[in-house]
Amino acid sequence: MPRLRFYLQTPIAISGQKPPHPLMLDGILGYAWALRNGYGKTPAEVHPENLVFPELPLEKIGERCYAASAAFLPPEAAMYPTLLVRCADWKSAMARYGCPETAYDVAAGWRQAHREPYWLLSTPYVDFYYRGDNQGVTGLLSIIFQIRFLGGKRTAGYGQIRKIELKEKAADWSVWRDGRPTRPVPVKIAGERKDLTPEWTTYYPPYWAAANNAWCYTPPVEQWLPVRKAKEIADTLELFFAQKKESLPPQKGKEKCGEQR
Amino acid sequence: MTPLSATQIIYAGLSSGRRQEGPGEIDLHRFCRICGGPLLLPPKPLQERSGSWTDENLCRRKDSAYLCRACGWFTEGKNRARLWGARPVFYASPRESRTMTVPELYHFLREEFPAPAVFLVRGHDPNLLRKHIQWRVLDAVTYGRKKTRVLFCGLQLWRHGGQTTGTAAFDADEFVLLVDLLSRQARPYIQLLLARQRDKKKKPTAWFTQNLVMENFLKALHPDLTMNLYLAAYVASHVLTEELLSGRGG
Repeated sequence: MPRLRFYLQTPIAISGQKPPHPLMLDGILGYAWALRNGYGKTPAEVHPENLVFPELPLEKIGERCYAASAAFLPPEAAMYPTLLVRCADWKSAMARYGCPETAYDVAAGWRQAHREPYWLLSTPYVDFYYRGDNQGVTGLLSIIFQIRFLGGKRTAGYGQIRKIELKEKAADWSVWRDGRPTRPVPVKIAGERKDLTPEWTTYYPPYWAAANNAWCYTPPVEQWLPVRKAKEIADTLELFFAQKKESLPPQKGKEKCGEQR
Repeated sequence: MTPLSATQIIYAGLSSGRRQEGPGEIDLHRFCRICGGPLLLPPKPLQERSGSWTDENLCRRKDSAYLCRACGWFTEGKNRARLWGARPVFYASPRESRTMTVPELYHFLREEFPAPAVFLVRGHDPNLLRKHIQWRVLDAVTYGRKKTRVLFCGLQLWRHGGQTTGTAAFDADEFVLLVDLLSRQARPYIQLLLARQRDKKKKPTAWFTQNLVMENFLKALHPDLTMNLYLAAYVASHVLTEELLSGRGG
């Protein structure tokens, strides 16, 4: 089964304000599909009946559920917190309200300048697995490659795609891997599973639409976020604290005591 | 059936389960504009919300013209002091709610806890009380021990560090082991530093010790800090501080 690998040039930005969600291949392709078909973002999209389900060249495992995995991260992926500056948005305020005031307060309210908490996911690449028509997928990927970025804060340069590689023969981890889901799989498709915990989440694009929520088995966090192994953490800390101990200056009082003895 | 949202769980938990879903209490066919959960009755029309409401980006169901009873209550801002008090951790399930200290969170996670549940951890900054923290947790409901989600916000190192906000998602058993591991590794060195402080006739405070431990964790683990590891380090710094200052650290 095919595997897609997005090589990245800059870290992917994940908002710290909201719980993180995995990057989904059908979400990415769905966005390209919407652009290709001229479906822009309009205020009408807040009504669930106005949302269009993207017809993608992917195999379906049930109603509206594509055989396309969430992101897989390599072991060398790392993550760290940061604060990104958002400039005062006086232009939108002016566009919305005209110029009724002589000055806009850019230190308060929704237009204020502030620092937004973000987590940067630094990884050389992310992988996705799917079942479907390679040619159709490649066509949609050309649009994604033109967009060139994944994740949040794309206009600031985060999540830049260097190249996309398609490997036609790889393991089939499009839906399951070792008995665990690699993407949100609705309980009504997978059936009751005692060993898995269902969560109330979305399983088809657009993933931001809460109207799409259903009880799903979700992929393990260690698949789509970096998780350091306990042994590795123990080794790191042991080395760090040993070095710190060695670098501590000797206590003057104790030295004197020693000399007197 | 649509389950209760995070704000609805907090609201129900604050009343010790008296505000339960039931006939005449909940409308399953309509949804709350903010949290996207089923509409707890009586609903609040959209027009009645606060004039200073600026968090429209948080709304989960913008097609709805009503706020549920829980979100309507939260927009009034009456929750602030009650939710947080002086303790930095808040836990709620539909049947109960409680505030606790960070070491208490660690002990709480060791035991079985009822789900669905909501966990919030805040830092020291009291300004966070004005920041509608409860909205941020909307997608961070814990549905089981193996998928525990804890939202933390404004965790700060010393007084000048940037505030860190995120959501940790982990298996509670593994998280407890991670906290144990971090505490165990840091204990000898921190004990040594504290002993030196005492030799200088300085009494280390809990705030100083916790920041000292956290600073060392951040230096050791930088730059590879996941949200889980950050929260584990924060919890471990509090647990270790409590142990060392109460004389239980050995």
